[in-house]
Amino acid sequence: MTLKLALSGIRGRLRNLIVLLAGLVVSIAIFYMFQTMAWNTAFITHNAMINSIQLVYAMGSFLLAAVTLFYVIYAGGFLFSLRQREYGMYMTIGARRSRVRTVMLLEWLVIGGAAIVIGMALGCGLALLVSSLLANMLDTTFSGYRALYGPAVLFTVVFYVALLAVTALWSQLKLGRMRLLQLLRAGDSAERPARAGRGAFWGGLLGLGALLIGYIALTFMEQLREIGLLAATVMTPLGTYLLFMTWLPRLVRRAGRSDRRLAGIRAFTNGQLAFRVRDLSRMLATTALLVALGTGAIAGGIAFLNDAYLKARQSGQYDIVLENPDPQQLELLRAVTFEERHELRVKREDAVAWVARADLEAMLAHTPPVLEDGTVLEEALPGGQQAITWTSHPQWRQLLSGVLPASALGADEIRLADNSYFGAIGTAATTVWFGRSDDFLAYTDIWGELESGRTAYHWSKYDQYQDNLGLAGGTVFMGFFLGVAFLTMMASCLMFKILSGASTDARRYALLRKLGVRGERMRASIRRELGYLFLLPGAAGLLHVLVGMNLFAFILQQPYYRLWLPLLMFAVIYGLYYLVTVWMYNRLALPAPVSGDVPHTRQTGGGTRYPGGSMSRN
Amino acid sequence: MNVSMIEAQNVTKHYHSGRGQIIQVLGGITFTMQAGEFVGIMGPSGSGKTTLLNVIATLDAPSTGAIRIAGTDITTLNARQSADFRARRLGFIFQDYNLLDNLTIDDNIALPLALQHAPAAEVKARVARLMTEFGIASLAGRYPVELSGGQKQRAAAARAVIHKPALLLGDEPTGALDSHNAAVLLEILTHLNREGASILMVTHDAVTASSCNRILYMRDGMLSRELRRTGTRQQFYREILALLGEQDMNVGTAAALREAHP
Ligand SMILES: Nc1ncnc2c1ncn2[C@@H]1O[C@H](COP(=O)(O)OP(=O)(O)O)[C@@H](O)[C@H]1O
Ligand SMILES: [Mg+2]
Repeated sequence: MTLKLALSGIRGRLRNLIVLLAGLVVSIAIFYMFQTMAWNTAFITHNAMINSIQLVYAMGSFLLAAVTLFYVIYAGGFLFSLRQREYGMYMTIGARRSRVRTVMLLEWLVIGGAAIVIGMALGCGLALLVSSLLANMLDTTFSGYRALYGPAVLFTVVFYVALLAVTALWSQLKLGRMRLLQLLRAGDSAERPARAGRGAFWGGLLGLGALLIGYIALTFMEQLREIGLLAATVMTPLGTYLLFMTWLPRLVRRAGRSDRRLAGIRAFTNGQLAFRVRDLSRMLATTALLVALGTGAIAGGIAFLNDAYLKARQSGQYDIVLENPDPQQLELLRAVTFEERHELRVKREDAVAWVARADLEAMLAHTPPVLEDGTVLEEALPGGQQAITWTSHPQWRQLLSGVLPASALGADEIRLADNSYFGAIGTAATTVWFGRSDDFLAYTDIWGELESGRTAYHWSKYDQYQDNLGLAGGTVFMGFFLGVAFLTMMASCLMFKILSGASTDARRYALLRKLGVRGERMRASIRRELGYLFLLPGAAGLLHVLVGMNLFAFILQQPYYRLWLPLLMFAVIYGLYYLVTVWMYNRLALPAPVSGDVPHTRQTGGGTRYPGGSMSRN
Repeated sequence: MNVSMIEAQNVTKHYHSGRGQIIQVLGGITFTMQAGEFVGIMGPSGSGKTTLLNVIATLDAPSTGAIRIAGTDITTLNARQSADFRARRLGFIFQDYNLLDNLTIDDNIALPLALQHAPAAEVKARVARLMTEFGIASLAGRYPVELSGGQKQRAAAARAVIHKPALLLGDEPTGALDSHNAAVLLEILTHLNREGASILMVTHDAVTASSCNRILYMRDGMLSRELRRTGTRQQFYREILALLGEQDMNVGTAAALREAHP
């Protein structure tokens, strides 16, 4: 009988429970993906570009666990809010409290168990997919990373079983403490919006000060060092919480009051919003902070990748250096637009490498060559058949070391020979072909192909690029996982927290319907209300990111380079959550379309689904 | 002048139960209410009073039959039109007040006018006048939780009439009030009626019913009796008591008969 009640409860609210289940599944999958990296210390340390990456992961794990805890509690609260009245009903018809508890526990077990099984499967699949996609995109392999990772599986399952148990316990306690009447009148709030006192003003001012200090610390991190790091991590969250808890509710209320267009549904929406912002202020501040962390992590990873690109662009090395290119290679080179290209003939005779002077003069006739460190060659070409030595001609030496053929390696001296002398040398000439294209990054495929069969004797520009990319790739991968994990968890938290208020609002919207408010206007009001609830922390979080990216200034050349990409990703993820929340909210809070819509039909099935759907409740 | 406010023609309403049975809640109701009348609907619990009121309020559609309110055939309205109709032409008072707890009393009262985009100054003036008239002027700026039941119901009454609806509907508006507050509300309603408002309300209380000009008595989804007030309120009250007694007797006899001859 108890099981039957539980199952019938689940069936009755199937669609809402599916959303809850989906939320849990996503949370488990993401938590697992994160753990596949957090527990794989070999992989992290090998790929990290930051020394203290282990610390970052330890902190990340802790934060994610904390957010997940709240998330599961909110999800449990959402389930509870859906079912309160029903539990109350069971109890009025004489079901004992213990029985209702068992029903609730069974329900939670069924959902939790299903979520763990599906979530783990999805997590493995996603980890595999994301890692191979990223590896493909970045042209590397994440050696040592495993999508199906034993310790991660174990930890995730244990963690979630514990979490679900804690949540179950929590709602059991809540049910135990609630009186029957409270259950039946679920959501009849007896609070009046508190009027902000004088304390709120000073609290807000304090918050503003703290936030400013945090921002200053973030901006001048290089100078402030440890003190800056401490100040930023303490002051920024402190300021955010204070501002969200003191000034924001006032601001929203005042904005609502001074709204001259009090006409229409706006009066109602403003009232709702003022009510909500006060209730949710801590939640919104937390969202803002984690949005900042998540987006910041993604942006940081991408900034490292961009740094690899930038370094390649700025390097003075020649894009390609080929010895005696064969016709096939020359054919490949046709596809490249070169800004400069040169040929250098070299002959080796005993301890001397002879370089054709005419080739070097041709090089100079174009524009003075750029050296590897980016400076321009200023030295004159030595006259006669003088040797180019390390001490006498460092710039020439540096220039030539990047383009001399393998045969010239180990020569004691490099000497210049004019045409007739060069021709007379008895050994075979090697022609080195090298040049600089209009855009190194545009032709990476061609460089790769040209250099594929090469026995490396010097570190080419392409090699350097590949190396940077590999390192950055690891960071991008980690940043991406970390960021997406924070963002989705946080957005899910916000979603369920907002949704658990929906059943309370159902009565308000039922009343509005009676007063003759059209369905589309109620939907517009909900869109606006939830829009602000998502927008406020989103905007604050983005501001944090914009300021916070300064943090990377001491390792990256341009931390803000292509920042739009992570911001876009954030906007897409966050936007999707907003849409899902609005959709769910409409379903939970708005009265069902009335039979009055279609007059004279039999479309009046058994019972209204929504409390307060009819004129009175007798 | 005799203008019809409500014309109900053979209105029925049935529900389909889960097991495929049809439950008849309204079994063909025909009545007319003139503009300016104050009509009470009485009847035992479950007789269909609330359902009838919901159908008239365009909150629920009748299964068959026709209803005209203030000249509008409400059975042909779509969802949008019926919402607009409710917003402009109807006012509601509920047993459980149904004020919005997230708005102040003034904002609650202003809501119907605000929803019609009335100019802010006009809305303010009307709210202030009504609050004075209904004796709740001192409560401006307060939230519903800070009010007593009687005060809440007076605010609800103010909200119900602020947009000058053609018809005021109430489902047991005094049901949750003590006798003093009930009397105050009835005075307000009577006063509104004298000024020309048409009021239709459901009640099970004879005192409340005695302030009406006419009582429609419902049983098993049908109108079974009608009582018109001809004399004083006191007389009408006694007549209503007599009617209720008689109906109780009928019910009792019917039950006794059923028990004797199953
Ligand atoms: N949505 C519904 N589905 C099925 N039966 C209903 C529904 N609404 C009301 N009823 C039934 O209609 C009858 C009349 O209800 P109602 O109009 O609320 O009575 P009253 O207000 O006179 O007490 C009751 O027997 C009730 O069970
Ligand atoms: Mg009723």
